[in-house]
Amino acid sequence: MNVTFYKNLSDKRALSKSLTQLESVTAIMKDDCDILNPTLEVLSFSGLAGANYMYISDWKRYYFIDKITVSRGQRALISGHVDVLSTYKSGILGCSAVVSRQQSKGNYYLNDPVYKTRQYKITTVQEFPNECFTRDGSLILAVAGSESEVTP
Amino acid sequence: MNNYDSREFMLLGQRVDTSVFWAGGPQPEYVTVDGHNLHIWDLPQIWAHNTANWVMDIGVKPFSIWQWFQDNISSIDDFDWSTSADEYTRYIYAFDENGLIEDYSGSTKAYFWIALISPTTEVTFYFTTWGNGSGVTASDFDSNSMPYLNGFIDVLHENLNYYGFRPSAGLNDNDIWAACCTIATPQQIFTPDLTNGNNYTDECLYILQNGFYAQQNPLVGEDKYNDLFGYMSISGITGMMANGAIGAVSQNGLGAQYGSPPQIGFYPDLVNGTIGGAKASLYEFVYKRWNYFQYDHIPWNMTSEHLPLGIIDIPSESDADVELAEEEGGEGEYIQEDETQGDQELPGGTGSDGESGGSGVTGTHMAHLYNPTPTQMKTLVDNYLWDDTFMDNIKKIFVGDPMDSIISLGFVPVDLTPFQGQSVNAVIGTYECSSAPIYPLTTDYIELDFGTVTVKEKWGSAMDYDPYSTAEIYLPYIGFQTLSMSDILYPTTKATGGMGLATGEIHLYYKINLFTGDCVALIFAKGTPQISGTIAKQHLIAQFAGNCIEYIPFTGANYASYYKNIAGNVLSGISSIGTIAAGAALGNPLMTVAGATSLASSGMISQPPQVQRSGTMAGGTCRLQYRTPFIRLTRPSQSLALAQPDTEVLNQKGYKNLEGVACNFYVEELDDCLGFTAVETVELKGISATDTELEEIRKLLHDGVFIGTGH
Repeated sequence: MNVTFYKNLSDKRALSKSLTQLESVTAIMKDDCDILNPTLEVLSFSGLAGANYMYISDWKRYYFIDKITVSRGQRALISGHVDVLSTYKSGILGCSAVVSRQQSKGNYYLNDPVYKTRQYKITTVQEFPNECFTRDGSLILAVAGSESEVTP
Repeated sequence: MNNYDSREFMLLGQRVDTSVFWAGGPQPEYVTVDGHNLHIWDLPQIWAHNTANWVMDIGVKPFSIWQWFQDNISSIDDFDWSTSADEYTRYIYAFDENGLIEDYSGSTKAYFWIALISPTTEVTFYFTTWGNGSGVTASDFDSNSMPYLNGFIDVLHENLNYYGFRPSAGLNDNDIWAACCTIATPQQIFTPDLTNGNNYTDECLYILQNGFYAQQNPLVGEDKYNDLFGYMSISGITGMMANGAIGAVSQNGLGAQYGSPPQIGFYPDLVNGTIGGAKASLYEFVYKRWNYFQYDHIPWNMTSEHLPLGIIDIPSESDADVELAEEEGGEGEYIQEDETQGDQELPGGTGSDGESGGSGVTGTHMAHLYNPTPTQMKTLVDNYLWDDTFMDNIKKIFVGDPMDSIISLGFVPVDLTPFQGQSVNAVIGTYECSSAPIYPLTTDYIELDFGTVTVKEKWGSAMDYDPYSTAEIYLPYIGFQTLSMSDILYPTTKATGGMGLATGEIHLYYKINLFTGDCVALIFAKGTPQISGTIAKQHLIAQFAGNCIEYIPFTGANYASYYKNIAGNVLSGISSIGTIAAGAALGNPLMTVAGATSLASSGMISQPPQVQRSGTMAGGTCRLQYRTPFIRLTRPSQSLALAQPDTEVLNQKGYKNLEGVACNFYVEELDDCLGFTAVETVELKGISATDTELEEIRKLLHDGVFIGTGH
């Protein structure tokens, strides 16, 4: 089967990866293998040590290279794990979803446990503008009886 | 991707490197940032047009956008839309200080007020004006100092739905000045990812959908200013540049004005008409040179695209764009603006039978209040209170100690002069002290207005609310009380977190019972949302009780015991008086008088303390307290992992790019999201993958992935 090797500089979580193609070689399966976690045997090439990503056209899947084992006789064993994000990129982008975190469409008023705060607080004080209570105040004399009911 | 069409308008948001706007390098005075809104001021083109009527023309033109409002917005309470705008010089409107519209029809004055409204939309409009003052010509304008630092911009009136601006007083008919506006839209309408190795953050771009200008084919000739200012007003950014360029077209020709086309945004293009002629049609803008954007992140062709102007179709709740919004759920309703709380009358006044005192304590005729001056008090004491005649008379009325007829004497920390009646002879019991003038009080209850404190969000996020931020209010004679930040501030119901900071106002009143000194602090809140919406104008959020009277001992009783007991027992006494007053109503006045004096006497002299004032300082400590109420806000010190130290509210790029920001919206396609995206749930259909792979996809999406290039 044909395997194309790449140098991937993108984050593993990126759906669109920035790839630099290194070499396209023929590989054989090493024993039976899981297509999600294959181990392939290839003839080593000069840029192999810089490869960290590959595409297997027969399986139509992209893979992260987990491990490269070079053996005598210029053979190399390549272990990989499928990159589901790149492999199924178009399908994923067409899926509907409820988004919980987003880079540019966030709602800051949602309670976000990721927020970090410093240990100290910021305190501000604002006084009400009208000074209604005075230093001296006023005397209040409360007396019994009615102001208008006077004994003759 | 959202299917945005070419009729969109573009506005700029926060944190812009101004150097891209101007070939000559950064000129930050032309770009100001207010919260998350960018205002771009640009006049170099318009200064070339110093015609006799220029000022006039400019002055009235923004009202063409009013016509647009008239045609398209139906619920504007304060506006008179009865006039048409077909002859612009006749319609100069203004807002007075009360926000009422005035008609300056026929005015030849250059100055005007502009009003902005967005009552039914989630768009904030900003207008401003500036000028060069009296006696100058266009050539006096300095391109390096505009907008003029001289002022000429007064925010005349600010309201939920509009802003009123005007140039400052002093402008004359032929003075030169200009106006401009920017339009800011909610961040969530559309926020493309602008990251492409440039200096822009993700919030640089705001878009109004489906923009149209009401007049599809304005003529540059006679109506040029009228129409063009419509453009200016709608287009917002580089508005004056656009207008100036257009004006130039009819006078100086295209080449002279477009020699250095704006580097950013829209500018008008004569795509249909005669350049330099009097009848050049002008109805399109050209989108030009957004050369720092990624192609697939903007909804139109980058190179050049004609954008027909027209009515701005601001997305409503039913529009497709709401798919990005959250489901608000049953949130109830705010109090409408005209439902203001807080105007309840105090007890007392005139009773239902027409008698003074009414429902107040005085109205029971069992007791009344005086507000003696120290001199009056001295006269009363010297001449009566320990005078044998007085004592004898009082004893005829009261059984027991004559001093029992004096219920209390105390200080309240308020100037009661405004509540004094005409000086009269003091009446104690039924005995008139004929040579002891004294001021009676006209009311048993008073209300004090401490005014308003404005509270503003600090972070524009959940951090501004409980439990992260707290508000305490210090109330003299009551103590510290805790308020809810959610009661004070009103963010939008469709919070965007990116359009400025919500504010709220706290209005504090005290109501005081002068008989007892008991006071109640009533706290009203009035909030302003970030963007338009119905809010509570003013409503009560809390009330707390305390006591603000310092009683003064006037008997030979044990002072220590007195201070402990006085306040509570006076309350008991007053309470009893109230009870007894009911007895009086049943026709047994003697019983009630005896009862009143007996209770007061026993309590004041010998009873142990009966009343606790939890947390309240009363008695002798009253007037020792801090007398000014204040509100203390305690907020978290938010720490975001930013690309570089900066104003954290405005620049959260680094943090957001790797962590995202919490959100909760549904998308038909994840392709609508750019950058870091994590999903709560996803429907993985149409993907021919193994079950193991699907589960891995689901997990990765849940944990967060990067959509788009550049990651």
